[in-house]
Amino acid sequence: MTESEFENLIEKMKNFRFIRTQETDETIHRLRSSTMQIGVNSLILFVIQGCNLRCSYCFATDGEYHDKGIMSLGTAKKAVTFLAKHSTSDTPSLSFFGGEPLLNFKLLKKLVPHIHKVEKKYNKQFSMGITTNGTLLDKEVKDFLIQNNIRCMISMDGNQQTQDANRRFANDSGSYDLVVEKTRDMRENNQLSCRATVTPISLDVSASFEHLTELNFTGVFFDAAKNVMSEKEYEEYGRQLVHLFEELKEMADAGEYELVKKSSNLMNFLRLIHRAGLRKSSCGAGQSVIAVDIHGDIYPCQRYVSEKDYCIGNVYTGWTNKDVRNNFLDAVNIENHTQCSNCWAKNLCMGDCAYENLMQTGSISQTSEAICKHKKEIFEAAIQLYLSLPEDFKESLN
Amino acid sequence: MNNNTLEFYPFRIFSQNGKNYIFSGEMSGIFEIDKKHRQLLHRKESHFQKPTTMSVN
Repeated sequence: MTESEFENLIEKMKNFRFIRTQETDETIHRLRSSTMQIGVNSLILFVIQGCNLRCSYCFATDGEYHDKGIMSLGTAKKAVTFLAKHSTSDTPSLSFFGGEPLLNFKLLKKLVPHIHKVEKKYNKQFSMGITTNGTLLDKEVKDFLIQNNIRCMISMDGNQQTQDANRRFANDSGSYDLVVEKTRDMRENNQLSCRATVTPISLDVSASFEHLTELNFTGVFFDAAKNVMSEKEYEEYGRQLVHLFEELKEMADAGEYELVKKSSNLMNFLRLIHRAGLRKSSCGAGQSVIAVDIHGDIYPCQRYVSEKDYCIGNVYTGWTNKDVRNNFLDAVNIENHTQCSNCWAKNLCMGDCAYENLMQTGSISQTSEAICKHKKEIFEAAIQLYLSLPEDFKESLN
Repeated sequence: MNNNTLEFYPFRIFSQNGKNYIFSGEMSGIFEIDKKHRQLLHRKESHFQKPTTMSVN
């Protein structure tokens, strides 16, 4: 290599922010440490803290979050206005959550017409969604969801054996048959996605993915119930998820892209890889995302609800706990995750979920070794798959 | 930072269909690399006429 070729090569690498210089270091630090406030563009609304199921892994004590009750219409309206006022997006996201939100369908019927008025007043279009266990879906509810363009995600863990073992009613009966029956028409019409919680009895995520896609869910998202898993079981879950990605890569190689697109985990990773750019934290919790409990108290996300130390405000009084919010945003900022400073996957993983970190290590800024290892393996598999995709598929990730 | 040292942000090299790619950890950029890049990243200093030392994370 000549000196001129060498200089060109170095210049290119600098331009791609691949070579570390004092200037790029300072720029990155400044951007990541910026206190520039992004709007609140996603609100998770706890219309109820209570549930009709008794899931084996529920981290929220039967959906109650140690504080059983329902949200009033007044509080719900206040939360909607809070989102409209604080969002910078023209299409802020509003998710109805619980517990089981359809136990408070009465509230939704009154709230949604109000939301449409707020949309007009603030010149915004809310992107509404609901996460439900599917057991209360009847014709009236389904018509309501469809007519109001409310995206619906069903919590369903896999085949009958898995679902009935994990997701049971208070009388100890399983929920699989009922959920399959109640969701049949919407699944057939491509109107339902699925969120599956992985437990020690359902580590074979490929089998669950196959079953749930055969049920015609439009997308399947897996998340591990780490609170009921041993370290070995979590490692096995990691291996199984990598295995699923490898299977999906074979599907992509065979041109079966529609099935690949049904893996919401994979699609989320592919979008992150494709869009690149400097990121600050893993999910926007506490900044662009907030959760509002039945009293109107604001938390960084749904996982923190009822953890009073992390209450950052209230929809009636605003950002009353600014110090708590600022401390939280500092703690989730990747610049403050020292263990990640030399990691190649840092800008994808962003130190993982802040709440999981807190549960596993006692610190929002510290990721457990098991999760760290799993995340790197899964990102490797996702990048390998990304590289094998045709250009038009990659473009669709924009 | 020492001016005589080339320092890279954390990266990982991937191979796919006979091509090599580098994933840059700070910005998530993916770039196809050729033999020269790969040589540079593998610290084969002798390939370069310009004297330098390198530190690869």
